[in-house]
Amino acid sequence: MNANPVVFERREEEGRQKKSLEEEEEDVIDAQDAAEIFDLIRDIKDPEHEDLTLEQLNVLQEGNVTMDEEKGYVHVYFTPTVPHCSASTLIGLCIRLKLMQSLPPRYKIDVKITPGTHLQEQQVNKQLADKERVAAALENKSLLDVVHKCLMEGNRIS
Amino acid sequence: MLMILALQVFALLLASNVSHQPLGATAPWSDTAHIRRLFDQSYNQYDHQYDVLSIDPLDVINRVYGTDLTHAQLQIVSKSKKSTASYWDTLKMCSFAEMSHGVDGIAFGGQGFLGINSFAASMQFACGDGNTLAHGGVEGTDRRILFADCRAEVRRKSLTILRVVEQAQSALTNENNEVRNRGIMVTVACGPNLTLTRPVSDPQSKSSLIQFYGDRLQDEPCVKEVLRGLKLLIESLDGPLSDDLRRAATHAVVGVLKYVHVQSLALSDRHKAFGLVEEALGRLELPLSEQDVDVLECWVQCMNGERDPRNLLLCFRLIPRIAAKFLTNKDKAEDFFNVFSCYFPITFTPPPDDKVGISADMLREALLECMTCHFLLIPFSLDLALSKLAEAESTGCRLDSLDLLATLATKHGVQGSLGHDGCQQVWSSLRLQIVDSSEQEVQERARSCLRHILRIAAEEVGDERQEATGSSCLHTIMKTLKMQTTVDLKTPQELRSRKGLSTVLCAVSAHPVSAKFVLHDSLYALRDIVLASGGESGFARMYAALQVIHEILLSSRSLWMYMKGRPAAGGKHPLSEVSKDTFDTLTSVFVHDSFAGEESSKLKQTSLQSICELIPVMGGEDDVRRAFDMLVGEFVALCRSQDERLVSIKRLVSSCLAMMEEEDHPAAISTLSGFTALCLNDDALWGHGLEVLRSSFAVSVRVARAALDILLEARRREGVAGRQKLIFQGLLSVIDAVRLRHNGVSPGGGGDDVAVKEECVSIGSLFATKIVPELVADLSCDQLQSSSFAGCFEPLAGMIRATLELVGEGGGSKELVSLLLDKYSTPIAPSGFSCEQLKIIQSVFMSAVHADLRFLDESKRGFVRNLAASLLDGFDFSQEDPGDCRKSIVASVMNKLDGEVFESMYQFIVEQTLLPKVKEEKFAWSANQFLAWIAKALVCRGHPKGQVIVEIFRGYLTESNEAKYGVIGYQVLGSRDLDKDFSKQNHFICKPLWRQRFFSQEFFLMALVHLLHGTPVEAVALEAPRVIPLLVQALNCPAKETKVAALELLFSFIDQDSKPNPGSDSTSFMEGQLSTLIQALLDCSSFSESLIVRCRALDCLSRVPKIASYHKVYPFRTQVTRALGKVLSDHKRCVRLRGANCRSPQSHGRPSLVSVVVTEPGVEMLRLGKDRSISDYLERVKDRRELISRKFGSDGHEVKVEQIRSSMRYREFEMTKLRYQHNVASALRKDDKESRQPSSGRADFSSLRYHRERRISSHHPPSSSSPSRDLPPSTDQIRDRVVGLRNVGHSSSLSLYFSARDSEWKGRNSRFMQYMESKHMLSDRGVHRNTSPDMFLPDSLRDDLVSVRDLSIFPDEFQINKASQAEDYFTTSSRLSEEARSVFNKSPTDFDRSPRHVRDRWPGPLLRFRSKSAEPAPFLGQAARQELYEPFRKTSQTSHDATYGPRAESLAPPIPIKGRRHAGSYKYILTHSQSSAARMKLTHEQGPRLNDLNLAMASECSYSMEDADATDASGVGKIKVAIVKKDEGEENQQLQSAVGRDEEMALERSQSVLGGPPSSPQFLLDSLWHRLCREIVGSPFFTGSGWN
Repeated sequence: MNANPVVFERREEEGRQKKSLEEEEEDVIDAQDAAEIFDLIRDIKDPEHEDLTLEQLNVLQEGNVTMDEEKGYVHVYFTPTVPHCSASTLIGLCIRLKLMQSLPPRYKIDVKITPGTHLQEQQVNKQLADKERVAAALENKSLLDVVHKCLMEGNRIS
Repeated sequence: MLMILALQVFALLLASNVSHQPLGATAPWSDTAHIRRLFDQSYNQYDHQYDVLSIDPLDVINRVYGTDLTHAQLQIVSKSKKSTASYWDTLKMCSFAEMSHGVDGIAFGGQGFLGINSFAASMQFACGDGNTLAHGGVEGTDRRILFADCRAEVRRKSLTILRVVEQAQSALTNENNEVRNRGIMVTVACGPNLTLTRPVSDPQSKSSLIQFYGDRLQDEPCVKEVLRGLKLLIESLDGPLSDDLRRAATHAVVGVLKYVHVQSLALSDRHKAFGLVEEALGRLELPLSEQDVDVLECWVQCMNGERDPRNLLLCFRLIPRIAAKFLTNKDKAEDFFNVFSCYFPITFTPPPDDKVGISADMLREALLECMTCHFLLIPFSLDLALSKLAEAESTGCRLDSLDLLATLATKHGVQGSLGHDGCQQVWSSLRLQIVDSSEQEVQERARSCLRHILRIAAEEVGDERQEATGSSCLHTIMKTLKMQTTVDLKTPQELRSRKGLSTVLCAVSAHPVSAKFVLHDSLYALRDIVLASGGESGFARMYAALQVIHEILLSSRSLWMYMKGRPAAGGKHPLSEVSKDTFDTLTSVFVHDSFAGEESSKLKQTSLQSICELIPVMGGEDDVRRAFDMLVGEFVALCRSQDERLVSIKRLVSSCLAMMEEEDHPAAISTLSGFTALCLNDDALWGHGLEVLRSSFAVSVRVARAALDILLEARRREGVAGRQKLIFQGLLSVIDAVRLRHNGVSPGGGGDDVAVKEECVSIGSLFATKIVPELVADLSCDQLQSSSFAGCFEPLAGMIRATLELVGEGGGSKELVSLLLDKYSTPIAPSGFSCEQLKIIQSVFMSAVHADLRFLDESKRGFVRNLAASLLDGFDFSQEDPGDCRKSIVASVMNKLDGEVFESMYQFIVEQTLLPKVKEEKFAWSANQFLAWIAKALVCRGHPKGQVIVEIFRGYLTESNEAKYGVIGYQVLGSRDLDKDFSKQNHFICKPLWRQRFFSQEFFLMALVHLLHGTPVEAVALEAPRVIPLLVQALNCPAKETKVAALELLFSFIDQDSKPNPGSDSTSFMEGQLSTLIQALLDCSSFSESLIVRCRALDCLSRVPKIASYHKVYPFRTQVTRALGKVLSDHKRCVRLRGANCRSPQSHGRPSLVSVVVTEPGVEMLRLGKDRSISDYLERVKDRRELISRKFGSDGHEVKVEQIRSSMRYREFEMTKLRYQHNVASALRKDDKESRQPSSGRADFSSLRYHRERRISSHHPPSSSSPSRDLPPSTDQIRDRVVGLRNVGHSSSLSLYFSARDSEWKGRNSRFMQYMESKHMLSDRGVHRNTSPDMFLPDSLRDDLVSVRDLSIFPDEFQINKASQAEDYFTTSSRLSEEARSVFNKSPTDFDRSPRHVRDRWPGPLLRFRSKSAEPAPFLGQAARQELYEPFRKTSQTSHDATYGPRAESLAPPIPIKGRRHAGSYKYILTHSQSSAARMKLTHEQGPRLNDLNLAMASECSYSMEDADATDASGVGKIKVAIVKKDEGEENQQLQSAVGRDEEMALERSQSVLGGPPSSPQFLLDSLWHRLCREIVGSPFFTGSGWN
């Protein structure tokens, strides 16, 4: 556990103008892009630091989120704050659960540790990629509680 | 003899033809000379025979010759007489000639001797006797002197009556009759008015003379002359009479009556006698009654036998006077009556060349007068009349009799003359005459008589003084009449019935009172006939009935006239009361389909005629109009013959005119105008050419004129509005008819005829130039205001329109238009129109401007446009439009115009004029109202521009500043008050159901939502319960704006609610609406047209969990999650983000009410498997048990468990729980034992052993040595039967139930264990097989896994006094025992007195909670049930173990369990509906397994106290424990403090159930249960927010 993580500033959307509902145009199609995916997950709380979001801990970066709308592919790399972070599986589980809830089922979601940022990168990646194990984890009541707690305040209506 | 006969003939000839006047003077006898010659001849030949014949030759001579008697003739006569008698005769003749005719004897010239002699002779004749005369006539010197004196006196005209009497004294007293007679004659000749003497003038002389004559009346031979003298004298009397004179005259007249045998006298003398009486009674009024004489009797004698018509007439005229004066005695009345009634009926035929002039009618009238002159004569007259009628002698006799009756009634009244009995007789007699008489005249006279009598009787009714009697008379007659009429109507003989019914007509036409008597009944009877008639014979009957109705109506016309003449009798016509029904009767003929052709035509004709008659008396105007419509419609169709039709129409028109002019009948105008229109448009009439047309037009003009007159007349009176409208309508129909004719629209065509057209145009011109301007000029707004303006003005407007169309460009149209403009639109001043002008214009243009009006050519359209423009130009929009006139006119124009004109008008009015003003504060109000009116006008015609304006109003609503204008718009659009203006009556173009199309629910929701949108949320929140459902409805509106507004409102509501606001009650409303709300929001979330809608819907959706309880929201989780799957693919990012937000389970909130609290987790109670704790077990079943929440209900002790999903797993859970409880109970019982037996430190499991023993010998009943035989079951027994809390549902009152017996439960439990084993729920098969639920106890206890200490249940925890309460924990509670005993005592069969086998069967009270109302187990469907019951099926053989009963130990074989187990204490009946349904289904599908299923289901179903089948035959198996509530106030306090704390809750519940301190086993069970709950909530299941 990283008791003193480096806290980053929350970055506001740069390229995208924030529009009010009245300014939105119905006819214009807003393609789903990485930024949107990032928006969905940026506010997930860290399990170890309940008052900090993953973005603030730089666990999630917009650049690490890729997606291909046509192919229905979403790839998220997250970077644990420390290489031995014990909550990395839990963080991945949170991200994955959040994306599963927030994206249409046609998307293939990959949540992985940014290569080289964690000691047990492979095991963690394997666990996160295993549907059964994810499902089993989510069956776990205590685990689920933690996950929910992380996601609970992560919802943000723009 | 021949000679005598000839003379007699001659004399009779004279007597019959000659009056007292001389023949030659006046009588134009054809041959006077011849008669004189004949007389001379006869006299010469038969001179002496005159005496024989009692013919007075002097009289004859006088008559024959008169003044022509010349001296020569006398001489001839005298010469021819040789005898003395002849000589005297000659003298007499001479003297007579002198006396009578003033022939002066001296004037004989040279024949002086004769003159002197003749006078002397006459004097001698008068005064001397015959002998003296014969002998001394010439010789007696004295006498000559006397004569000479006399002659001198005569010459001097000084001969007085006194002297004559003196001279004739001897003769007057002579015994010789003839002499006396002659003496009298002299006095008479010289008396009153002799030419020879001076007439008697002084009263003294007269009275003396009258007295003398009166005395002489008894001298019969002289009576003739006496009468003559008397008559002369009395006739000469005049002026007031002196007493002497009066006395003398009275004496004389009485003498005449008394002494003179009148009938033996000659005709002239009789006449004199009667004349004397007449004089006395009439002119002189002599007091005859003062004399001691019975005048009546004398008169009877006098008159009796009189045959001369002159005398009779005189007598008849005298009789009333006599009767009036002297008829006082009833006894004499008959004689008196007989003397003249014998002449009845009088027949008299005057001779040809009658000079007297007496006719039969005079005599008859006089006789009737006599017969009815006195009331004492009435009975005789009545009898006479009736007898004469009955005798049926001759026509004249009957007629006279009828006249007599009528006269009697007239003179003395019906009651006075006829009386009650008389009425009856008269009625029967009259009816006989009416019905049976063959003579028409008699019938008619009888009817007339009846009518007369009835009228008089009815008038007597009206007379208050005679009301009692008169009414009785009338009633008598009418009653009989009605009865007779009823009979008549049933009589098949038509003629007879018609004759009989004519009496009804008499009654109808007589008087309103009598009419009222019969009209109702007879008309209804006739109506019945008409309505019932059918078939072959029906026509005649129906026709006759219709004719009778017609006659009745005709009769009523005369009644109407009668009433008109009498203001007192006037008033409501009696027919008016039945007019409506009669009309219906008459009209029913037209729908009668039994007859066709000629018959139908005849019937209809009669009916129509009757309707014509009926119209004037019909009461209501509507009825009249209806009748009129009937007439108009049917008349043309009916009248086949042209002549007949013309006649009919003419008659109708004339009668209508008469009605209108005379009676001012309101219906007359419409009737007349309608018929005029009929005339004009009747093609048949038009076939008659221009002449008829002109006459029709003449009628029209006359109508118009008459209407105008009436109008002007009516204007002078009050209340003219209705009449005016009527007149307008009449005129309108006329002008419309003319217009139609002109255009050739009417059926007859005729439009091509130039002459017809000219005529039409001329009529139109008349209207245009005279009538309409007059009407228009006459109008004033005061009248119009009183009634519906447009409705009143409509006829006039229609008239104007028709007139304009008729006359076209010329003929007055210009005048009319200019009149309208001049009158009403000239002052287009800056001030604009006046209100009154506007109203006129409004009406004209709202109604007159027709959409497809042909005359609305370009110029007139321009006129309309300019008018509208001027209306708007002159209008100050900063002011209110008075009376909405401008608006309505403009709306009317906009509604009706079309094409380019409309476009230009719209451009001008809306876009150029109104729209710039609608937003200016100053003008906005008026301008928006204008706009709304126009919008409504356009919307109701379905014009698309209307929607444009409506959109403007809708736009207002979204802006708070202008919302009020939007409100104006919706107010006008929705106002129903304005619909009367926007109607087809005003020729508005209104599409059918335009309102329904326009004002849909969506429209109103839209308006509402927009209105609410501008309202502060706090204000709206007050109305939340009403508003929220509407908002939810509004979400389904297709309009985007509505959705947005509704969503925003909802959002604000939800936002409001999500804040803590205890006072708000909208939350509960939201909760109630959740299903519709969530569905609507989900629908909106996929609303593709607007992303705002989607976003707002999602926003709302995301907030819904915040306002509602978790358990309310929870069921929608799946639905929401699924529906939001689409949202995640939305093409707008903002939507997707919101969708994702909504979809996350975290947003669904958390359970708001957690029923149990974790206190002591981790107590491993049971070892169900190798490593399984109860937590593991519960973990597996947790998803079956979704939520258990408890609430305190309103009654304070309700246990409410919600959402228990009953399933196999839940049952497992339940069973496990029970076992747990049981274990604890057992453990605690050990304490109980210890408390009772202080030496024992641990729990005593004897009861378990006992139980086990019992299980082993389950087929054996408890031995008789059972210690609890006479007592209620022990705690052990009770405990054994604990099967647990199950199906704890909504309960308002709790009951105690018995469970099944041990062995049965054991069987079931063994099957259950098998099932669990098969599911690998239980590992140790050996241990659990064939065990009851409590079989777990030994194992678990043996393993020492459970201890009492572990349970940590101590009395301290419940604040109970240890010492006092401990012993009761698991022993039989004394309280319960008491209660149980009380129950036993109350049971239908006393337990103690019950047979043994019943007592043995007593299972003991078992404790089981169940609610009355809760369903025992939800119906799971077949699959679930199969799953549920499958394990039991497998072990069906063991079910036989459940056979139970005292006889089980005997040789009787086990009884298999069936649907009903009568052998045991219970009947297992599937009483609940769901169970029944399940059973039926299962019976059908799984019949062979029914036995098992029954058992299984029986185990599932709980037994309700209320289920009658749940008791056995003896009723022993049922007990009821009364529930004692605690004190309410204290209870409530405790309850409130106990919310959320389960222990206390359980405490309360146990208290409420058992009404005692928490010392009962039930309480402990509860506490154990909650302990268990702690275990449950200690699991991860409850720890997180794991509700996904």
